Amino acid sequence: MSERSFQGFERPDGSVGTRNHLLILSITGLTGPAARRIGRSIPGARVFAMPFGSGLIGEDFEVHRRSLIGLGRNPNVGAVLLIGGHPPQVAEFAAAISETGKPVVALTLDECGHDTLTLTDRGIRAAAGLARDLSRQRRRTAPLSALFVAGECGRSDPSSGLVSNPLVGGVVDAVVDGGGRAVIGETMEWFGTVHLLQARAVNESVASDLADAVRRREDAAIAAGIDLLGDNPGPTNIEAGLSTLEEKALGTIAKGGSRPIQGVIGVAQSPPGPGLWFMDAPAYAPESVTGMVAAGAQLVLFTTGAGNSFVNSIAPTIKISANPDTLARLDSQIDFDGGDVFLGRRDLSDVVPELMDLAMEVASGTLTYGEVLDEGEEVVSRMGPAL
Amino acid sequence: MTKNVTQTTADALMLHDQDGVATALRPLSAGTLVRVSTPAGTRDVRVEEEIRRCHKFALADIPAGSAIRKHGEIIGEATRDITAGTHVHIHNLSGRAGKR
Repeated sequence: MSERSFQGFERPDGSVGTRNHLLILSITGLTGPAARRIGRSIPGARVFAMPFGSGLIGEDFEVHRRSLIGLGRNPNVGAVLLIGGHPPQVAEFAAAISETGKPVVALTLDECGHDTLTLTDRGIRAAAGLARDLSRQRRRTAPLSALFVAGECGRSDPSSGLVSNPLVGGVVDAVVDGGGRAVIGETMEWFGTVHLLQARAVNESVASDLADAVRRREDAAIAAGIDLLGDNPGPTNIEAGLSTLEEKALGTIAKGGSRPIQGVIGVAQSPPGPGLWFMDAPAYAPESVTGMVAAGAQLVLFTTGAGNSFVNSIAPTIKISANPDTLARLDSQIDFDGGDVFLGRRDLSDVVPELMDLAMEVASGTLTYGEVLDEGEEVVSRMGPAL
Repeated sequence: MTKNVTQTTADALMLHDQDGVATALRPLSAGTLVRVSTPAGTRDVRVEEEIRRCHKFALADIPAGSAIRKHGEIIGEATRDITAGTHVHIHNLSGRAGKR
């Protein structure tokens, strides 16, 4: 499978997009309404409006900055209309995104006399030009090594751990073997499996980073006085048959396949090399996925047991389930059916290549149900107080 | 992680030879003999109560306080004596997360 390739959009920095989005990126809450108004005038454009602006401190400041710049730099974004309040901050973000060589137009409320209609007018004109230029690009053959896949699970049940997550793990292994990159996150769901992960860490330092990351999450839960039962596993997981976080975690980490773990990265932090990476991040799917897409993932493999409609807006998100009841109920929302493996009619190892085929097909332009239904969203984590 | 066991026609799945529980692949009725696929082949186990799809049941008696394994790994501890063939879930199985 290492001979695989996909059809993607080449970017000036050598990265390859699985999509060719115009991103209208509002970096402050003040300009969100204008960004959405501009987006409504340019069908197909992706809009992300960060609800926060100033006053963020510490880790929030860093995650906010990395996430916005990272979404702009994601290879699936062909051009960016960047909107904000103050020219210096907008110029700094624009410069960081422009390093990729992609077109970036920056507009500020200050320069529009704080007239939102002027900002809207200038924004629509600029976005229209960017969108037309983007339409001139064509897909070309790209190697598997240009692909960065993210694994995620939401509303898991035991079918996720038995079938869907191992299927994703098989694709992750294939991408890694082909020289590409892969990431899984949801730190809390590594609980009880650290010894298994550490055995795959490339060195002692990575092994201790894995243990430290899990300990910090558990400390946070203890400090907050949270009983993890009912939170993680959550009510849906419990109803579906998952009893403990350890049980859920054994399924969760199966998304990470079997290859060596290169390192632990922070939310929205781009992996410095090929291979499999673990992102130390919140487990809630919307923010977990945005963190991985802001790190550069161009394709998301998202498993669900009981059903979960959430997808990312910038990276196509393939929904995978193996629960026969869920597959029957959500037949026009789940992209990949692993039910035959769950029911024992087929071997897991025979079905992995089929998921790989779908991954390559979607990377090359086939739409996911989430894209057809326009379920995409971005959520950037907030950690603490703001000033 | 999942062992490549033969699942054909099995009603439930034991993932690892050290596991104390099996996962129901279909709804199982109380008092029936069900076929469990294990790494060593299939074996029949009598379930004593209704087990919903994806839920777990004990493959043998599990004394209170002992570790319960799935995938060959510890997923928690029995909080009371568990009889073979009965449901294993949050009422009799507890994890260690957040309990340091």
